[in-house]
Amino acid sequence: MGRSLRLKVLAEGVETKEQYAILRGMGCELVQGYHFSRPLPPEELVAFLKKHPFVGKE
Amino acid sequence: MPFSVGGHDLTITPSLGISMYPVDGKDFETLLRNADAAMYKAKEAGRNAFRFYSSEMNVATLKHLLMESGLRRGLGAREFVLHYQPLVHIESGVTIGVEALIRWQNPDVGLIPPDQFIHVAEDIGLINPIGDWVLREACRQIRAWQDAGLPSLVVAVNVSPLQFRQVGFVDTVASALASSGLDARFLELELTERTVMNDAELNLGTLSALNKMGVELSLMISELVTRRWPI
Repeated sequence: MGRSLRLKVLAEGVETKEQYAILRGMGCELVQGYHFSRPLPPEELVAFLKKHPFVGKE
Repeated sequence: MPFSVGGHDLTITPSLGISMYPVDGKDFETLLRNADAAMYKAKEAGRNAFRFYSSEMNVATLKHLLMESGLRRGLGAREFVLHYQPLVHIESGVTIGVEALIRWQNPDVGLIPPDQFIHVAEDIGLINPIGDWVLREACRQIRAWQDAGLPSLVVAVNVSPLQFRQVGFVDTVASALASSGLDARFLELELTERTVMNDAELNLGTLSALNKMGVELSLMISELVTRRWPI
């Protein structure tokens, strides 16, 4: 539905590999949830970004 | 069953609290106070319900009161902190932003998640100052990371319906951006469906002003979100 309205689709609360696979199949663009990382205090987020691929906005 | 009033169908969902003389109180004041506590339990149960008073309800009320005073003190004593959860782009598996999530670092209890205190903050009118702090702090942190050479992350911030509808919300966002020096396109405001649908005309004005400012807006439609920021 989001895509037909030209909205960006973000799924929150992704917790398992299966949920991730389903969302991927549905054409969801952005995900967030414990499957990737729990919410982190600022200093731990910096450590996370140093270990995982990231890109900044242009 | 709806009542028909002037051509409109109106439905009422009463919540009743019941206290009984003499077990629940020997005077009017006590009976009324206990009936009131029971009524709030009926409301919590989803309205359209009744509850009899029980003494455990006063324990819950006491916890609520302690939390109220704790929240007021916590805001002044800077006991709130933000944690950041990565937002991952599905196709590439790359992190492109973070969502800022509030926690209450309570000196007695430890770290308290938002679902345990946001509804209290909304009840006592503290949600706007807390929400405004979240905006300012998220903008400040992201800008500080940018200055430290980290990637230009987008930060997503949850906005509660009450905060969104407060007079001067657009100015609050503008001032959070200005004082941090964060470029508007790195800030994304997450709004719920209910926030936007309520009083659409007023909200359209706010949305278009934010849009003009260059802030990203996203509409959350999931149940998970309303649970995190209870309405």
